[in-house]
Amino acid sequence: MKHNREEVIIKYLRSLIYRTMSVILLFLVLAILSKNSTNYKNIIAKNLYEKQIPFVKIKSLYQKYLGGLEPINKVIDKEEPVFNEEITFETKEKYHDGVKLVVSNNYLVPIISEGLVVYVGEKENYGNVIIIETLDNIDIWYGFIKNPAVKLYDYVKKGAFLGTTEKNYLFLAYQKDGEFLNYENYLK
Amino acid sequence: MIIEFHYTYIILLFSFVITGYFPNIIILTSIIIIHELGHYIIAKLLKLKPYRIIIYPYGGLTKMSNLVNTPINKEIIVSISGLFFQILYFLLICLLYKHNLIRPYIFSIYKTYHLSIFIFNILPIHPLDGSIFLNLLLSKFIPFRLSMYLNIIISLVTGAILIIINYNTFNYTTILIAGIIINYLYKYKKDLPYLYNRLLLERYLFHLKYKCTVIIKNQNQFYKEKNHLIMNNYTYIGEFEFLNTYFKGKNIKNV
Repeated sequence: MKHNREEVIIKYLRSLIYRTMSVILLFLVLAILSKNSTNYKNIIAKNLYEKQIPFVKIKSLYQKYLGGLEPINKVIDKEEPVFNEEITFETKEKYHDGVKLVVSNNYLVPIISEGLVVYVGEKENYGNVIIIETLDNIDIWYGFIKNPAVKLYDYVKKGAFLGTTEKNYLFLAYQKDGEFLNYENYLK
Repeated sequence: MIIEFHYTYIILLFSFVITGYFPNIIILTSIIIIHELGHYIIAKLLKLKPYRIIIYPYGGLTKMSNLVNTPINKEIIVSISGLFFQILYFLLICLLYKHNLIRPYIFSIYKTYHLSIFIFNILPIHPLDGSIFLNLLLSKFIPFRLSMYLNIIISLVTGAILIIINYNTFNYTTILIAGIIINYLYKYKKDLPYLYNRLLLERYLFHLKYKCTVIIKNQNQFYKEKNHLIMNNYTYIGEFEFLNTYFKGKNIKNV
């Protein structure tokens, strides 16, 4: 029995060493490649650091071809507190990459479109930002948000409560594949 | 104790990761593990021999290496304890939610998974808790072999009804689960004669004695937790003598 246990431990350690070595090897190969040519460096930086996994897109594909992820979906009635409002604002003006809306003081911000929260945190010029990836693969940025009611990787519904504004203005931006889109096509 | 993650579970986790359902992974896994630990802990307390936990999508299995002749009441307690622990866990979550320590979003996920695993586990289909409970209850009143066959029939009928009801709402995970269940049912059907033989052999080897005695006609009608008198050509033979002649000439070491 004791002999057997030793064998198991040796086997485990061996596989662990193999795995760590292969990760180190992969890292070194990438490092050497990126040092030798700037072309490779750009490709690696673009694919590893800038691209995000399109969770929502994969989810909608999954839903379409493989069915949902919840096993007994019918049984459970979904009672969620829906805040259910649309954004109302007084004026709008262009601000950096998006649009700045003038709203009432401590305005309660509703979510424009269903999706997944992919970023919560500070960004330059926009204050506290929440980014929501929607079903049509557009990232919507909500800037100057105080006390967010959502957290990272929450699936949120349209019209649900997002947070309050810091002062009397709200920032919105629409981004697709890393490029900002013209807000006038989306905001009416 | 060994906790083993079945490869179907790894597939499910992978699909959770690529669709961005990160909180769901922790919630689902914690519910399943607490459910199985319930079986494990209670079985240990009752001095049964659990040795391995296998985690499947939407449920797990605790494997035990005890006698077939373990007292029915003990096994019933073990079969219920999983759901009992799961309910306790959910009540704890409810308490935390009432004191605003958990967000409504996380609580709704907990509720969904708790309810679906609960409903799934009380179905009378073979490896699930509901069927084990039903089988044990039946084996109190009818012969053991018959109760096992009834168990298979009940499992197939419930499975067929579920398939007919949910014909349109099939998804990938339900197909995975159905595959696992069919595999287990097939193994159960195949091992049934051997399991029954173990019941007889344990009686023969350990001289088990019970309060109740019944009269039966052949070796296929043995009850659990009862002693027997076998009627053969208007003569009655005691259980041990009968088993002695039954196993005579058979190679017991290989059984």
